[in-house]
Amino acid sequence: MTDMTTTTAMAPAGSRALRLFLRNPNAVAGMLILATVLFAAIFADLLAPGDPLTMVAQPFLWPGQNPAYPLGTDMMGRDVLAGIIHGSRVSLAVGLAATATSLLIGTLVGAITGYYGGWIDRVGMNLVEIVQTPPNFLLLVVIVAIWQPNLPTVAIGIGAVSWPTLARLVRGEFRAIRGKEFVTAAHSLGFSDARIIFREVLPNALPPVVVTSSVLVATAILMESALSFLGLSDPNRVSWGSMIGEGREMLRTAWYLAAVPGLCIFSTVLAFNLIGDGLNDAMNPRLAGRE
Amino acid sequence: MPLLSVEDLHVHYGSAHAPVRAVDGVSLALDAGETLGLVGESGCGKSTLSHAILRLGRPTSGRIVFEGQDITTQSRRKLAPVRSGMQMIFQDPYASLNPRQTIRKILTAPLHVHGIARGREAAEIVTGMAEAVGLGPDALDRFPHEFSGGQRQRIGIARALILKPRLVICDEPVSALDLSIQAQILNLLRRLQAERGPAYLFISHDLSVVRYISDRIAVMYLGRIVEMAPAHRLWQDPLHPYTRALIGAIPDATRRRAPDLLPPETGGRPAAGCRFANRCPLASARCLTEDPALHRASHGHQVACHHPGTSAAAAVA
Amino acid sequence: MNAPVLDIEGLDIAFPMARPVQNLSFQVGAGETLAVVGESGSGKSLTALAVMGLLPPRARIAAGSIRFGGRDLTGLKPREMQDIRGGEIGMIFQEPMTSLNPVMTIGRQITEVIRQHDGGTEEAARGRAAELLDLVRIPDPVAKLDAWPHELSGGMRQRVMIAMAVACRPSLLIADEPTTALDVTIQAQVLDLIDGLRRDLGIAVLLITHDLGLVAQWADRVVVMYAGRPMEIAGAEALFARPRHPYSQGLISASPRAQGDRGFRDGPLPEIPGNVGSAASLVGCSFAPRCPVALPDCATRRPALRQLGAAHAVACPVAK
Repeated sequence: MTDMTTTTAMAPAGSRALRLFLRNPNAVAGMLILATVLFAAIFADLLAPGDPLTMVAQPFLWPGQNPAYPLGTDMMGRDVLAGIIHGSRVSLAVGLAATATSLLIGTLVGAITGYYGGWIDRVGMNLVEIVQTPPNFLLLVVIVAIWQPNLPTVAIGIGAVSWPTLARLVRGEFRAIRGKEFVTAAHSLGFSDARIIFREVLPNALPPVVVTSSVLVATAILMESALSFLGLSDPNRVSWGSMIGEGREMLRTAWYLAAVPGLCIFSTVLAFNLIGDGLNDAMNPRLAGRE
Repeated sequence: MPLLSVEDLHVHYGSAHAPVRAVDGVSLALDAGETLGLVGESGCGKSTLSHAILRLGRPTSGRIVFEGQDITTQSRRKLAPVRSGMQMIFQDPYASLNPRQTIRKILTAPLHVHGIARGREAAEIVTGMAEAVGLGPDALDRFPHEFSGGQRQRIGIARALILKPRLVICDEPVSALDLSIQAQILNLLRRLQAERGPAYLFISHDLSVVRYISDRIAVMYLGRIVEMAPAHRLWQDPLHPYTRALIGAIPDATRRRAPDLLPPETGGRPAAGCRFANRCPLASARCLTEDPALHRASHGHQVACHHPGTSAAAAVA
Repeated sequence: MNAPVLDIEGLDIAFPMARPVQNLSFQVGAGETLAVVGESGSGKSLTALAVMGLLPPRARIAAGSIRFGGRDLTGLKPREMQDIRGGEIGMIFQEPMTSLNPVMTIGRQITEVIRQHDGGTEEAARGRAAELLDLVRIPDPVAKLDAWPHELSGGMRQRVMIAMAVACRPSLLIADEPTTALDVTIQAQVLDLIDGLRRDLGIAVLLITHDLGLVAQWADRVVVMYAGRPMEIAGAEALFARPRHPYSQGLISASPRAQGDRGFRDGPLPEIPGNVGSAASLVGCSFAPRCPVALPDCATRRPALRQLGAAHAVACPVAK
């Protein structure tokens, strides 16, 4: 057939989305902030060797007062910069692990309820409502209070209270996609349910899930910070939230102790939100047509 | 023994006391290598019927026998090997291909699932199939959105035929295509049937397409077959007033500004009697009380009408 | 033909990266049905939108004129165009389901159109609305004024759309694929209705369609478009009796309707090879890549429309 020659050569949808994403200044700014935080987290031991909880200088050094401690020291003479650098590990690790947890539960519940419908859907959605009824943070506090207040518990706890959002989202996508003809075609070809769910439908449901996940990371970082602020997270690890919590008593005299980690949380959360918006624009086929 | 036989099939939806009878007692048979055209307007149940035959929906009652095996109530596990024997070509070439899979993956998956071939052997079958539907080997590593509607329909046809089915249900396969592409796809279906011998159940709302492609034609109205005959026979001597209306409504240069019109719709079917009576120019008192059964009018020609073959003019006189 | 109702001259419609309609000229006379027929990408629907002043945001009229009622519509302000739409030019679209507002009764929607353009009291408009429903042969018109769109069948909804389109006594009715979404038996009724209004009210009809059968049965004259350009302009009977352009010939003979008693066991359909191309990429004739009789010249030089008889024009150097 000669009609092969007339099709315009188009790149696969994925690389077009990437190109659109990289052309979005907000998204690139988000990526840059995230890269900085990631760099700090990965090379924390090189950038700030030793335990950030040890006393290294006189307390209440203001930022800039002593060039050896550019962000100053706290009430116990600990280096604030070292705390920030090591704290980034906690924030990122908890954010990512919590999101992974809620992705696992949320996608599974959403996929199964959305695909099968009927009584399975009713049971699944009841479960979602039960989890969603109490305020998320309250539920998280209870979970952490029952188990050990260590980082894995915190991460899994945050994941366990935030999956319903994803489950609803994935369920909605599955309900829309399961009626498409290519899914009917897969049934008529004798494909198993597992194959249809994971290889036919799920890849088509992923774009909004990816977008929501980046926002979930931001939310998880905030939740961990809030837990630390209340002193409910792992007491043996420096985190941005715990730094704010300890600094709050000195707010009048040494406001920088709360402001510096606060700014870090703010920028990181902002970065994930910017990335989420950028992904949303890039993966939305209606907007992608603007190219 | 026919390849497929459907006996008094019912598919009802909704509640038990007010069911929607999408398919309301359909019987038909299809021989190997034959093409049966199924024509009817939207909502007549032709798509529900085809889904039921493929066991994509659950029949309410009746029997579906494929290659001698009753598949009406078979479990999914037992159905799996039957699936490769009957396949479907869909109407919408945009919605019926997974947008996130390459053509190679779309065509290879059925071979894997049914354990027919793997690796290089599968690749050879896929390349051969693509070639048979007029797609070059460079098409295989591209995604559906890179193709035009006509080419996508070729991909859909390749997917349906790769398992060497004996029955292919073609559900409005050319309705979404431009006229110049329609002819290409119809010719492709024709050639593949000659080369590989599947029987077609060809569903369409377009009587002129069905007339060209079919050996026999069944006309469906509100869930029931109202007339069934060899294609040329149905055209030359339509017995049911609905068939006549369908033929008369085909726009045509020989009837400039003078179509054969049915009276405007006045809502559903009567509570009892013939389902076409409210729109029928021939309807008599009997038609409002007694539902006509599909009966044999002549050899190979069946009709469900109390006044078969009467013209409207004769009825008035 | 008397003074044409609509006179399109050298129309070019441009997008930033493409020019999907090029050098299109035709006239629609009073009380006549002119069909613009073509496949997807032919530019037929864009042409209709251009006449109505409803081109998509990034499209613009790059050249040519659209004269209607002594004015060039291409130069009108949006406000002036609004008065003409639904007033002197009526419109019917493909989808009667989505063209009606689902939360307003039929009567309310028709009276709004009447009062927008003609003013008058609510009662007068309601009376006129009932007359219009009667005109489009909707049974029990007064009662139907209080019906909701979802209570009507597709065919009845399209009748309501037609009633709204002719509410202000337009001199031109644009029907863009008016029956594509309808069943064949209903399709014949709706076209019969439109044709009756043309005859009784003297309205000119611009019928946009992909369906050659409709054209053969209902049009007086036909513009055959391919990839943004007119290929052939002729009387409907002359076109179907003897198409001159290779594209028109291919299209008509490829139709299953043209096969008569010849079935698929008797041989393949005549087919036009290849795919619908786009006009932008070609310097020469847009049909040349698929044309069975193309000359070497056709790929480089665009054939102009030339007259072959009184009312028959063809853009092809080979056609006789």
